[in-house]
Amino acid sequence: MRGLLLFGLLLPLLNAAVQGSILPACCQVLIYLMLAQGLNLVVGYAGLLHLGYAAFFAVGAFSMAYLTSPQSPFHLQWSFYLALPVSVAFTLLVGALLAWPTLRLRGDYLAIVTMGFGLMLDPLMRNYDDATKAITGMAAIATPFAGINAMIWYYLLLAGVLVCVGLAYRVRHSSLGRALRALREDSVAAEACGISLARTKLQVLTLGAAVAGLAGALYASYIGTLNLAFPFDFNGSIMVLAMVILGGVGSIRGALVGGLALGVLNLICIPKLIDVVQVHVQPGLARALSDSPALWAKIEPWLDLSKAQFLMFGLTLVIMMLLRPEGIIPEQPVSYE
Amino acid sequence: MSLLEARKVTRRFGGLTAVSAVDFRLEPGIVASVIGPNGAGKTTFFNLLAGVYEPSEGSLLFQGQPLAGLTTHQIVRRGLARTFQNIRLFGPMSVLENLLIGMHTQMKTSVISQWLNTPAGRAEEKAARVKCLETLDFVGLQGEAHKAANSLPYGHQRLVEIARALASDPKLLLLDEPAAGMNPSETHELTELIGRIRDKGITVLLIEHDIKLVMEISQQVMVLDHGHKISEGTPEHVSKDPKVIEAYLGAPEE
Ligand SMILES: Nc1ncnc2c1ncn2[C@@H]1O[C@H](COP(=O)(O)OP(=O)(O)O)[C@@H](O)[C@H]1O
Ligand SMILES: [Mg+2]
Repeated sequence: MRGLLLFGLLLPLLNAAVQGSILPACCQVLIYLMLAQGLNLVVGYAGLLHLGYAAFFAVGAFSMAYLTSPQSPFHLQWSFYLALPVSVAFTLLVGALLAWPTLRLRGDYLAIVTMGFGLMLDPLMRNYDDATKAITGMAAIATPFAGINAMIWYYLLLAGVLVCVGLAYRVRHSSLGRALRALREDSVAAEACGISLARTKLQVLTLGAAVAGLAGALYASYIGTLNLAFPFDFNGSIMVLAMVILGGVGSIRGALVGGLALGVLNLICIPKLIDVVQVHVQPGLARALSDSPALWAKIEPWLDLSKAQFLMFGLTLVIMMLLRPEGIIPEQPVSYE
Repeated sequence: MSLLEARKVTRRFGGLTAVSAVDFRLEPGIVASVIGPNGAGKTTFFNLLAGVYEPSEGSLLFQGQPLAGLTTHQIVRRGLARTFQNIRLFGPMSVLENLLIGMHTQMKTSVISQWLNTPAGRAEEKAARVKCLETLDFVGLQGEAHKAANSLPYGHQRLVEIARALASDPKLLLLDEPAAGMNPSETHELTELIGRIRDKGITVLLIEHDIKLVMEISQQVMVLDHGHKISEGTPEHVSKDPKVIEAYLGAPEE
């Protein structure tokens, strides 16, 4: 854990060495790390399958944009410091409202409701672009202070990750964490210990939504101009879920490492690979095969790896899960010694 | 006032009547037993008390208050704790954590203050651990606190389950076949433990097949057969009741 933190703190130095090209991607990875911690509370601690987590991320991000952007339909232009807690609170509220009808029902029902919410939000917002600015987008979203740069954002988001990890750690060691473990293990026995299934589920779902809201609000402020695109859709939800499962369900370090692995893979490694193939491999091959155009015509379409981005991502995931089905760092029982 | 009162309680599962118009009163401070052949409805009766099932007919009163409409966890808060016929521990967790979960209803500081790690939250957590360790001593499991619950021998797991139920500070403790799977010396220790639980002022109602244990420790015995109460009274009275002998040995041949 300390090693990871040290690495995180020193990373910008590395970035300077490679001429500052990876810092924006690193900031996005940090956002993912926050999301992975939040989703791990729901999926890992509580054992509830949540399939629409990115939608809560979107709620947080759009709240931030609506409250602060000059192009927002609400024309509020609040400051960052007011908008941040309000965005988090609003996402928390949405999370609680959505959890409410599922509390008395079986666990799998939650998966359907959250998936429905995740799938519904996107087209709904797109269809009412005049009101939502989902496609048009909103610019000039408030930042913590004027003239903030990528390096400062990097450290701010790193602090955000630390807050989420700290929260996850405290929950794990609180009576809520114990209640969640008990429910996951044996809900009948947990109820017989005086634990309310509905109340505990509501608490963790609300908390999970709040973390997504925080990540979303920070993301909107960081990115500056917001419209409805990849990380907010169903694929985004699955991406965060994959991070949690790959890292080791229920494990704080697992969510960090899983988020790091997939974030780096998806945002840094695969794009770099696509880039390298396009810039170096393709022209070289084209020259080498210049005297057999028929063969080149066959090979050329395969060299555009951007089409295979999800394939590469998926394959890596499958291989890693085959190698370590319990996740990279499986959850350990809490020690009270 | 009786601690517990069942008035004509019936529970049906489809066409099967598992518990049929059972009247039952339990005075505080005693050990009472429910006996009867397999399938008599004993566990179902416990599940009705614990709020796992609602009675199809009749009503249940605990400390004079109706239990109707209350969920299991609400009933636990009122002071009714139970163990299970098939042990239901939180297996991979430590014995201590199992007991801390049993203390869930006793934790008063808010979740928020636990997260912020406030002094009040820390003090409560520390006190809870001390109390759980005392409870472990009480059931004779000192030194086992940090082992995984499912790593313990069977008889000890039964004791952990009793300790977990005690951690909720109950007024009434329901034990469903606590001696099942225990050897004679463990059973003897269990008998002695039940006596000490009663001496703490906790009323104990147990289901048990070990007749020696039942006769030794109970002041009151109820016998169920096919969901009906066929006999009730002191152990001596019940053991001489021809209906009970018939239920256990089968109907005499014509
Ligand atoms: N949830 C249930 N659904 C259907 N039948 C049940 C259920 N629980 C118990 N029964 C039936 O009720 C009867 C009494 O069972 P039980 O209370 O477990 O008996 P005992 O504990 O005295 O051995 C049995 O015939 C059992 O099959
Ligand atoms: Mg039974």
